[in-house]
Amino acid sequence: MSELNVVGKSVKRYDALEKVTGKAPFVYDMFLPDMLWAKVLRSPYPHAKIIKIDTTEAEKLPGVVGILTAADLPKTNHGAGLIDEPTMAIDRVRFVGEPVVAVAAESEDIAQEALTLIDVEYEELPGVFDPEIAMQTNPPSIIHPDLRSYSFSPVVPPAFDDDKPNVYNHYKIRHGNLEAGFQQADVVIENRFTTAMMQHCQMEPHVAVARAEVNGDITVWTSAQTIYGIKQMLCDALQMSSSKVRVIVPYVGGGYGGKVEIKTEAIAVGLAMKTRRPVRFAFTREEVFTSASVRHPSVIYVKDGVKKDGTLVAREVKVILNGGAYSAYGYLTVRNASFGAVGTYKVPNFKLDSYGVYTNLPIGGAFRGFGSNQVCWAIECQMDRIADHLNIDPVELRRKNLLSEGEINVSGETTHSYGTKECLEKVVEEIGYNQPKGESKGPWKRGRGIGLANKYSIAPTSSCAIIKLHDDGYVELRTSADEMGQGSRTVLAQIAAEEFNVEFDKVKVVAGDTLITPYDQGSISSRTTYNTGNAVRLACEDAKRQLFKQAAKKLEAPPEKLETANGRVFVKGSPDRSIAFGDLFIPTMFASGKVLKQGAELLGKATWYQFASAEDKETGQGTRVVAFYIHGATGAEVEVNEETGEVRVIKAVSAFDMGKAINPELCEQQIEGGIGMGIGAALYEEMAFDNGAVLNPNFMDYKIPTSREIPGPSNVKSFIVEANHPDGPFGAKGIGEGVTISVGPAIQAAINDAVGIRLGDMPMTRERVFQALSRKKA
Amino acid sequence: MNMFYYEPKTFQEACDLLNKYQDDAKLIAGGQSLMILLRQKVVVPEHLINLKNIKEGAYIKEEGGELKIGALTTHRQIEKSPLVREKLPAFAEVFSGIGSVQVRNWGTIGGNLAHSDPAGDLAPILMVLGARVRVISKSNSNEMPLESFITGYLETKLRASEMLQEIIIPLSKAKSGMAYEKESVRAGDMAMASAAAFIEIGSKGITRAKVVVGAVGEMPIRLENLEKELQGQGSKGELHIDPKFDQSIIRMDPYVSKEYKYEISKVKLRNVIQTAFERAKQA
Ligand SMILES: Cc1cc2nc3c(=O)[nH]c(=O)nc-3n(C[C@H](O)[C@H](O)[C@H](O)COP(=O)(O)OP(=O)(O)OC[C@H]3O[C@@H](n4cnc5c(N)ncnc54)[C@H](O)[C@@H]3O)c2cc1C
Repeated sequence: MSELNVVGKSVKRYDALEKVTGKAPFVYDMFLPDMLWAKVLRSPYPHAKIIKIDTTEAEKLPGVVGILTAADLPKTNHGAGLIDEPTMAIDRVRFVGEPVVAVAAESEDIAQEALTLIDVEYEELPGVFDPEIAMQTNPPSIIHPDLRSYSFSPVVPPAFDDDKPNVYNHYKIRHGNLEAGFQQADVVIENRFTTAMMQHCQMEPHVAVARAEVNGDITVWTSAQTIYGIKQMLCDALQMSSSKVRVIVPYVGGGYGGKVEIKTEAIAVGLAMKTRRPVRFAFTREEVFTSASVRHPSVIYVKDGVKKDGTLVAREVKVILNGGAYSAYGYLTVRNASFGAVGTYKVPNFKLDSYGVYTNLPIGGAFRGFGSNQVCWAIECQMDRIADHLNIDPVELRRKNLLSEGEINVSGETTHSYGTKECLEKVVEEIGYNQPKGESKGPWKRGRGIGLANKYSIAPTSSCAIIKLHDDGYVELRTSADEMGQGSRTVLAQIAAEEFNVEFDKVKVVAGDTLITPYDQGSISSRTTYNTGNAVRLACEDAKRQLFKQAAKKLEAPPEKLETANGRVFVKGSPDRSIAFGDLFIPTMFASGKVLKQGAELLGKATWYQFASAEDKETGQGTRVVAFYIHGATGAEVEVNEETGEVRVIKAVSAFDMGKAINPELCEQQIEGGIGMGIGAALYEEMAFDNGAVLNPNFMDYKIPTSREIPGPSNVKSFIVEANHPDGPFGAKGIGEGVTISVGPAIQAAINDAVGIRLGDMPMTRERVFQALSRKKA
Repeated sequence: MNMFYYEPKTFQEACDLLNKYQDDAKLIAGGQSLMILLRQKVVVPEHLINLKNIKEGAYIKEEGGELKIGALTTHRQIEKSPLVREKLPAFAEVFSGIGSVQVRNWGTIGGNLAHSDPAGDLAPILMVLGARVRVISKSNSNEMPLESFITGYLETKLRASEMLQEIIIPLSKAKSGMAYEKESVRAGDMAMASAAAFIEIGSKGITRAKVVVGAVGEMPIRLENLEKELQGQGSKGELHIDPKFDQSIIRMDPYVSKEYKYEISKVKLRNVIQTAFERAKQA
């Protein structure tokens, strides 16, 4: 590869100035003239039939302009794969917080007051909350009696379980011969692990502003991370054809997987169509907790057969994801969570069953890591227990069982771009794994530990890009990749700058408007740099073809002999034979700008399609099941208070392999942020419930770590490992999701190193630590 | 519904308003507890009386061997006060654990005590210090021990027409020490368990001990049995602390079990007694 000018450099973020000056547009800050405010009456019951809805009193309240119920909307569902979710409850509510009636009024207060005047009569049904109970053959409640008749995505059809009526998807992997594997084993070790329900806690709550145009079109501004997915769900939910719906996504104040479904959009649109006025529907923080999607709580069983020397010979995994009331993106999480057990270790004989189970809780959906957090937690904890049992150092045990370049993993794929070993060795060194431990003071005991992570990225998937070349030499990039803080606009602009050999600030990004910017599957699955990045490269090539064709005549050289830099086209090898982009344009009369004599614009466009191979439904085997794997490792040093069970993270280091760091500083920021979020999951965050109602829907009671729970800047370190991916742009893969995954396991291992207890349930609250310490003493 | 809003400039003006509107009025000082209740519509007052402009309400002074703190003094003012740091360093220390600097810039000592959240940090330590509060109304002014002022979960002796004017902390002349500790999930969170101890020593060991367990009950609770057991201990330098107490006082909590609250309360009690004792020896 020739030398790179912009890619691989930590250029200043594209949006830095706008953001630090507070000028960057966010939908939560958006107010349109003549706009109405929406509020939603939500189900107070986890499971009930709706007998009657009476809105007459609310309609009489001055200032109320429109009221919306399911009766006003098409009777169609939407979903991410399994089409099971109505926009508003139709005749049944399935979780506390499900939308039942929406009001649009002249002010937020009036809308809120109107809700108190609405009378809804319910008939309660038994609620079921525990996924292991819900997945029984005779559960206390069947949450979706019509499950078998729902429509679904043809790309990934669901697999139901005949005898388990609340299971909405069941994914299987079978590799080798499990029984033979267990027979070879010297020891068999089996454990159960759990993780809690978490909220993404984006800084900007979910919000949409909708406007019904006079011609029947609708325009929606929304804080979302899948602009085209939102558009499609809106079309499905409201039965609109695609060109009638325009979705605009400006900057997004955090996504983390939680902004991929139409939580606010369809209701805002429904009200706007009914009232013929613009409508703003913004979640409160409480609504984010009760009514947006969450990370699936999980129960995971891992049974391993190992040789005395630590070699894994058989592994059986059962993953139970508590999916809540609707499948949403959780439908895919059920399948993709499995890959957490695929990407890191070599296991000759393997069996995995992953279940998505309906319960009467908030909807389990996408959450940074998409199931890998839960499964890697279980696998990593299990590896440590094997190490304990065999009296082998946990790092040594991992070294022994890692995959290698070229080896077939349990999904049947060939391993490549596998940076795990390098990441592991880096954190072992940087955390001082083999160094003497720091001094313990009083009840505080010190320990260190290591955890590994992998995170696949989805396939099949696609992204498109458009490049327009301007007469002043600027390169314009049109993309629908959503910028939610991760830096996608920066990275994509860097790629375009590299392709055109221009300075980074000569690239303009036009983003997030389905009327103008082309299809993209969205900022999910750590996929943007790889997929949209590839689309940008291809679109740049296409634009260069147009450019060179036009320049060839002027330069009297064939197009293939041309190259471009700094807004000019050169004849290769003859730096004196060149022409500026602008000189391809001709002046017009009346000083009305310049025009291209042919072809209207210098426009390049391209689709990047990441294919996936066929996948056997019974075994999950395929040759290309995922786009790529991110690999990484975290080392943590903790202090544990033996008297109270409190855990403090003293130091955390992570090394991650993202293929190629297009912008190293942005990658480091992802790694650091991931450590923070990982500490939250490991020690603090857990949504608590009473009969299906969230007890802690606020930042007082739901504990996200603050800067005081995360080690200071000198004690958080991030390292970049670059195992280039042959298909990635400049070798890049992704980074965003992997980085939280190994933090919990590393802290778990460090706690054990400090006080000799093995925890299997996240978060590792101090009460859990305390109980484990008490059990150990007893 | 409309809400009427006032900004009195003196305690007298505030008391006049309270007298006029009684139960329909609510005082707001720093708003760090009340705003949450207003927002959740748990409290919906017709008349909101903001005390922030009562300049005479924020002060810290030493008078007649006592420290007097105006009810409207903010947490941050007390935390930073050289006088408090000199006279009651262990009390000044407590403030750094209250919320965050932003919370402490707004929150007041009077609001904290009047709110009477059992998880609050100030009541336990002020109780062991034997603090009194001055309660005023349009035509009355009374002092009472903080211990009798606090009557339950978010409950005090304050009547609708009354407010807090001052907190009075006697300064011990004996060789004494005090300590406060809380257990909270994150730094600056409300306590899930807490304890405070004040110990005076003479030549024959502990002459007076006051111990309070906070956060776990309906309100901070004096542990008089434990105090008695401590009497006379420590003449040889060693303490025998068995901090058990009646577990039935522990409130239900959706996040932590009663058993765990009991166990960490004991850890906190042991720690504060030991620390207060060490500090008394060094005094
Ligand atoms: C994020 C956060 C974290 C916190 N953490 C802690 C903590 O760790 N420890 C802790 O102790 N506290 C904590 N607090 C509470 C904080 O200390 C409050 O400031 C305090 O409890 C109330 O003081 P205020 O001046 O804000 O009162 P307000 O909220 O204004 O009022 C509280 C109550 O007191 C009444 N009141 C106020 N002043 C008077 C008066 N002079 N006379 C009579 N009644 C009066 C009001 O009518 C109201 O009922 C926290 C608060 C927040 C928001």
